[in-house]
Amino acid sequence: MGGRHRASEAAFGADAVGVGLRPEHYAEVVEHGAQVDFFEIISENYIGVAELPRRHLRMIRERYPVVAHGVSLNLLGADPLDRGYLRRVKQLIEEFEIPYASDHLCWTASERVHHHDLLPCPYDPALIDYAVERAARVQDLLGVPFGIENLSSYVTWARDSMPEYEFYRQVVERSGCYYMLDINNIYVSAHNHGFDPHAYLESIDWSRVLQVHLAGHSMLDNGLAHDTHDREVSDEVWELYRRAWQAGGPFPTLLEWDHQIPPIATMVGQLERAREVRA
Amino acid sequence: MSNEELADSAPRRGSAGPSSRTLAAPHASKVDPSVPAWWAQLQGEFGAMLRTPLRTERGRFEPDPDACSPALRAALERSTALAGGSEPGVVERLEVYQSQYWMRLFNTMQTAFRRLTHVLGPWRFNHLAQIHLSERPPAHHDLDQCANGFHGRIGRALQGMAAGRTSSRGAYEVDQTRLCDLPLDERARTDPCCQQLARSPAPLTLVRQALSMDEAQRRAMLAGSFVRWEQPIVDPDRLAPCRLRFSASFSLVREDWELAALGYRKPATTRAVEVSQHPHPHYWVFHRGPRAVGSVRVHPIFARLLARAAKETVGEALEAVRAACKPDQRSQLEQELGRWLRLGAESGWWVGVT
Repeated sequence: MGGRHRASEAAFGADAVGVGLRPEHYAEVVEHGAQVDFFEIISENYIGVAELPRRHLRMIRERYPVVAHGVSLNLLGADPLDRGYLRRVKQLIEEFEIPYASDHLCWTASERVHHHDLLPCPYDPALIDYAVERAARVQDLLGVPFGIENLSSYVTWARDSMPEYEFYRQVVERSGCYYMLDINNIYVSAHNHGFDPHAYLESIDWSRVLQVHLAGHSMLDNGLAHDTHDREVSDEVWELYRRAWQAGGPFPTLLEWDHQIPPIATMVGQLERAREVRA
Repeated sequence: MSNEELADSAPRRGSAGPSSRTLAAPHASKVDPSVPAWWAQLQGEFGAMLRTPLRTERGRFEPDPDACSPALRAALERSTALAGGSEPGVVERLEVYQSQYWMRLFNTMQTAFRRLTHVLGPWRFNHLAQIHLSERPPAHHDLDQCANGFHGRIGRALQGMAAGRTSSRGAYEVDQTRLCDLPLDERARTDPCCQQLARSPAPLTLVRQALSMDEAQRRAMLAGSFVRWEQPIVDPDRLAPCRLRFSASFSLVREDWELAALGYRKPATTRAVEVSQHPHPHYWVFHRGPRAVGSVRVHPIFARLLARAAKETVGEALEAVRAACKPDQRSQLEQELGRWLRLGAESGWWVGVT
């Protein structure tokens, strides 16, 4: 399996910019189009029994490349990987000719209860083999490059014995998978846990970055940064993005916006800022 | 005919939830054989913290600071490290996760049951959602499925509260009694859903109809692809010996208050809304159309026919409806019948006959 350029070059350029496709956008995109190079979909929105979301996606896929991003893989969960879920994601990939897929370095379910959140794990060497084996299996089952996204988190564990980025790097490299690097998540976690976000960027093997995520966050009264995806990207995150681009660009860049979703023109405006920042 | 009867005429999705009134124990399940045991155990502790119901004593839903077990607290002790000059402790940090868990589920439940949220108000609705989700934690990667079983759970609670009030004639009766004025029997008094519903001033039938209409719309949303009967029979004489095979997405619901439009308004943010009552009942069909979920208001005589056709042949249903019609209604039935049968077949309300 090749690096980021081979994964995406057939669909869009290495410096492509895109936005997360949400149902609120369907009508606008179908009727008027959008100034984006590609869309990223939430896989789970298109693998249910309802046909309607896939019907919308077919119309959009006729005009734009699409990549898939999951939120329920449960990579570090104790439950066995859900083969039925992975089979449906693979069908989605095949039907829509999706060049790569991604999910998170986290757990989401335990004891068959789905918590519908991206939950943190200890950065303990004892978990690396577990994550590596499962991530490699996922990539093998899906048949396309699989990107693993770093998490935004609010707690750390007593068992943490290595920096997050070192844990992340080992899982990505040893599994043969790729980085789905979320710059906002680096910022949020660095703020909440007091580590240096620039050291994080320095640890990245940029040849294995499939794509970069940007998003907005808010600040809670207690001082924690909260990964809300409900506003524009902060200046601090733009600065990190600039440094990331200097260190490892070009890479495809994707803006996520999941709450208080604005017209797509607002999101496209953020993509223009991304182009300015990296110029 | 009651909405419950009407709803019963269509297939249900999902199974009944557990009957326990307390926090449901997680499913006993196998784990990945290669997972470190300590990590599986920590996930169990973390999951239990997330699922601990939010507290409401101060008039708002708030994380429970006691949700964190000593074992989980010990496992997270490093979280007290300073960050950017602030010092949120383990409990404050975990509250972000606990709040997120419940608020995401409340939003999903409110979106699935918008009319019920409007008539009860979000405060009361969220209490019911929290009870449902505590008894039946989400068990599927599809977030929308967390609402499975809620219709049945609340329906049973309402039935329990109204025990003894059902007409012996079996005819549908609009019960204007406010939920807060219903005398609760012993069983209802100990059911947490009944306890919550009994604090609402909304009329019993209004709440039942809001619940039924929301579930009808949800069923249509969750149904698979739209299927059309390619060469439908619409001649009443040829259909007479047949039973209609209704689509899984089809539901017929009665509406005595202005509820239909509430399903398309954003979930309420604060209080219950006032809903006007119709002078005469309306009837709606919810179904999955070729492009979207549809709702169509149907004539009361057609509604009667549809309700009977769910249980007997078209001929038997027609005969019974004709017999109950006044002369002017009968002539309207004969005049419109062909159009109604064509509408139903072409809209995919039924997909064939048996």
